[in-house]
Amino acid sequence: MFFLPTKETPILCQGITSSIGAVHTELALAYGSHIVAGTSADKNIRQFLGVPVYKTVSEAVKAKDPKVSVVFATPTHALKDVEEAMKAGIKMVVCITERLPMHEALKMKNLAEKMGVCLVGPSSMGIGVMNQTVVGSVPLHLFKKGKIALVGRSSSLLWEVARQLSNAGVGVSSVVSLGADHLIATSFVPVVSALLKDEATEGIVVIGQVHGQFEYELAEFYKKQKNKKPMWCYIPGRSLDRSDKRPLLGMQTVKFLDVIEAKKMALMAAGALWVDSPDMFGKVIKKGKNR
Amino acid sequence: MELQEYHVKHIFRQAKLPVLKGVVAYTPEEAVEVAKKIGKPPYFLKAQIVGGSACYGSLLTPDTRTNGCIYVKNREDLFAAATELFGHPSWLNEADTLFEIHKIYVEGGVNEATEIGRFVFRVNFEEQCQMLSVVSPLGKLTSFHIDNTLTEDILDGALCAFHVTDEKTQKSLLNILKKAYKLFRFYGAMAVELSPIVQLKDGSLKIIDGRLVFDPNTTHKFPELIPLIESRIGKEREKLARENHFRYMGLKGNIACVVNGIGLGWATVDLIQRKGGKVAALLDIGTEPTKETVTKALRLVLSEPNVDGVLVNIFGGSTRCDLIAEGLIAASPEMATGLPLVVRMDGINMDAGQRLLYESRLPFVVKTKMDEAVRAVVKAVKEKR
Repeated sequence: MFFLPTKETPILCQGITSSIGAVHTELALAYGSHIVAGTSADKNIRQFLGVPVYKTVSEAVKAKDPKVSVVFATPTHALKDVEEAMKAGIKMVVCITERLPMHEALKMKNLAEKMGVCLVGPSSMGIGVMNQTVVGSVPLHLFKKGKIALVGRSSSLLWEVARQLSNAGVGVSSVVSLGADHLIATSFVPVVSALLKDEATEGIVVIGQVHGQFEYELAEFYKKQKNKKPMWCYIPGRSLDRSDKRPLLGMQTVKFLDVIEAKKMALMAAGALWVDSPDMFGKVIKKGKNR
Repeated sequence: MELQEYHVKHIFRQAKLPVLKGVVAYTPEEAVEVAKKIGKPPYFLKAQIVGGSACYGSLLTPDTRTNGCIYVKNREDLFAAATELFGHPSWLNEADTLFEIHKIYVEGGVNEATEIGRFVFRVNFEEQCQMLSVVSPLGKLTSFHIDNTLTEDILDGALCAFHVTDEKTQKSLLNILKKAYKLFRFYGAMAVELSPIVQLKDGSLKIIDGRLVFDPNTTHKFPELIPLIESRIGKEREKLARENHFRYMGLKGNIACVVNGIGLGWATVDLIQRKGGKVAALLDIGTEPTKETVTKALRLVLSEPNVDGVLVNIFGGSTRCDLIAEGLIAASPEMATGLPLVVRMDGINMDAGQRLLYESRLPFVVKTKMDEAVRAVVKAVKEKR
């Protein structure tokens, strides 16, 4: 099950000595993340950035009992690393690796479902909870504390919106990046469900994507909630039109604009709010909050 | 990412899938020559364009010319048909650009045939699974989820969906399904499509058209295929984009955009359109750019023919803005073109990055907020016109 980590949540970092792993572990430690253990492709390393490094995830679990693992691996190793974490009994795994071969991403997702593990990603940039912890590479130090949580597919746009909210004096509570690749495991519903229960959060921003059905699932879920927090949604891409591709057998070409309009309708019918322009989040949400 | 049909057929042939005899021709004369080698008429003449050539029409009513495929019944008609294909002025590819036809694929060996059906193995993004879809000759679509293996249940279901009852044909069809699935798994492909499959008078099955859609994330495992993958956006630009792991999209406007992150990129395109501009190209430098790749990215979008202005929109969440600035400055010889160049920079080391741009004394227009930057580039491009 997805949960929002706190500063007490012990974190394992797989691939802690890789270039990207090292950079983000250092930033996360500086923010106060409770990183208790790491693993590395280099089996001779015993310690890195003051964090003990273990030969296997099982050893790390035995020694430090981490509750969440973050995987910084190359596309070639990501499946193996995520599998290792799941088999060692870790119940939430955040996979940062992007551009994974699609067949492997599917395998990873199916495995997580079978084993009852919450897999965030692949291609997630992580989970950040303001004044608590960073799992992965969410640049919380660029944002101001507030009461709006953000969840979305594309990390770059999440950071942009979080910055707009910070500049507007609204601020953010949590930022959850689900991953922009086509195939990802955790969808909006479990995250929004956790955010609706989160006391630090009073409103939610959802950044969707043209591809996939997650926004419809979210609309169904949100419609049924009694205790709604306001939810502002946006999906980028309405001005792009790539619909003239020859479709595969049994598929229809659909225009991005039509898909986005359909998702907008579904979400608004469920009681969500829509932001028309990607530069308006600060203004719209500030106004919404003052009302 | 797709191969042209004749490359796909070559792969099918090697995988022992039953394809027709076929040879590539580069002129109408050559088409006549190779047809002799193939055998008796009729022939299929197929223009070789990715995503364009398709033998979509039914065999019995060969109304397939719009898809770049002509069904020729007599050898005497072959020259004229080939001339028509080569001379066709307006084949369109995905990005709506004109495509000249340099080669056609001549296939033969089908005289009287009945359609058995079509099928595709694909990764379904909407439902997040692997899927087999079968279309019967009457056009009924049946789909099966595949959970890691092609089970007997799925194969039985597929045979029902094809409406094939006689045992020998069933056996041949199962063989084709299994081999196609093996290819799908071997290449980690996004799709393997066989359409249509026909039955000849002697009872044997043949594949008329085939498609192999590759996952861009696995092509590095098959270096021999990379030179065969046809470009969509002009050879050089496509090659450069691929080499540097850029995501690149050619569009129809006149403002080129360089961004870090695809969501931010699409949002930027939306905003430019809202403010009255149009985008010529969108380039995503990804989450781990270096100074060199930034320089290459700027050069690449400047090489687009219709660019009147450039917007670089960077939010440095894990990327350092000063590194981006250094890369942009290094591309300065290319900027002597006098194009307006707006740089939006926010995030990690933004002050250092913006200072570098100012101190370079190059004609960058530097902004911190996305809306300001978009307004600036749209205005500058309008004034230039």
